[in-house]
Amino acid sequence: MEKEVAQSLLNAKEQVHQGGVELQQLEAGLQEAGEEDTRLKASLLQLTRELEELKEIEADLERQEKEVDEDTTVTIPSAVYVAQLYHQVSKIEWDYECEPGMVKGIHHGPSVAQPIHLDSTQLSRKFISDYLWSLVDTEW
Amino acid sequence: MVEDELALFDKSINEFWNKFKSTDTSCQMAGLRDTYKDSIKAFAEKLSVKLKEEERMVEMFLEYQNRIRQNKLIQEKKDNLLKLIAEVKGKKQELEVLTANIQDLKEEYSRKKETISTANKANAERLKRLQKSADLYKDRLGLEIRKIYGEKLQFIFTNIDPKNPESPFMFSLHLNEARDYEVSDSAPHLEGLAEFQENVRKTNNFSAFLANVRKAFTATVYN
Repeated sequence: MEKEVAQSLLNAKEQVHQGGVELQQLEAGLQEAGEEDTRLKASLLQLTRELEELKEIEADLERQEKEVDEDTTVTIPSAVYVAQLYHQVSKIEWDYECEPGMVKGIHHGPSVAQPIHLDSTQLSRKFISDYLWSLVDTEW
Repeated sequence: MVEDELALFDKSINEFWNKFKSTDTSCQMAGLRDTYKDSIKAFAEKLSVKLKEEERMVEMFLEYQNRIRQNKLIQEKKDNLLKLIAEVKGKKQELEVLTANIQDLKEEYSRKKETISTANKANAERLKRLQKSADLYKDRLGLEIRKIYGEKLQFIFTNIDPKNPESPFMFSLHLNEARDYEVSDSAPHLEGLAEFQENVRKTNNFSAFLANVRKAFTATVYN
């Protein structure tokens, strides 16, 4: 009986030893997984912050888009309207490429088109205005 | 006297011993003593063996206890590890999704930025040209056209008064409910403005309208 007891004792001892090895491996595995978990947590945090920043960028872009929209739907049409009104009222078309200081263009009269060529350096502003308005027909 | 008693006592002991040695009882006693010695020895040996067995059993018990504890620990750690591995996997997936998300958003925003930039450039160009055109008209005709509150247009003439070319002559215009031209707020006041209003309503000749208004404003200066 002592032999049996001794044997089972040795077996138990061996199992404890193996168990110890397994425990060590598990510890190592846990350590590694724990470190990876920490790294991933940090990465996730960083990305979440990045996402927050992107939200701000999105808001900014939205604001910019609104501004563009306002330009295209309000500001520009308004400016177009005014420019067209001037053109329609005066029937004058300017030459934008002429030398600076010159007033050059065409007045589209009811029957004839009359060229305009004035030297603003030699003439008063009132003279030029009066002259240009004289081209506009007062007949209803 | 004591010495005498001692000597007597000693003698009687020796006598007793000689008598005892020669009888059977002494042999019996010796035999009993030897048997007793033997059985004590055997008993001690058995006890020793039993003690050793007990020791072994205690050792064994402790080892088994260790094993049980260890097994519990191993199971616990295995469970923990599995849990942790699952969490890690989850986080990895989350990371992938977030990364893809962020990438998509970045691309989208980059495109939007591009679009906005192009549109802004185009708009700025257009506005610049429009402004340039309006400025030329304004300067040369001496007429500023402004959009003001209440859906009105304000017309401001300059270069009217030769003594004060900057001095403004203005009026406002809007389309009323009947979609007719309606003038208002002229400064300075213009007598013929109502008539001009009637004419432009009839003929829709806005060009003539403005020319006549300017003429009338000019006339007020020379009066």
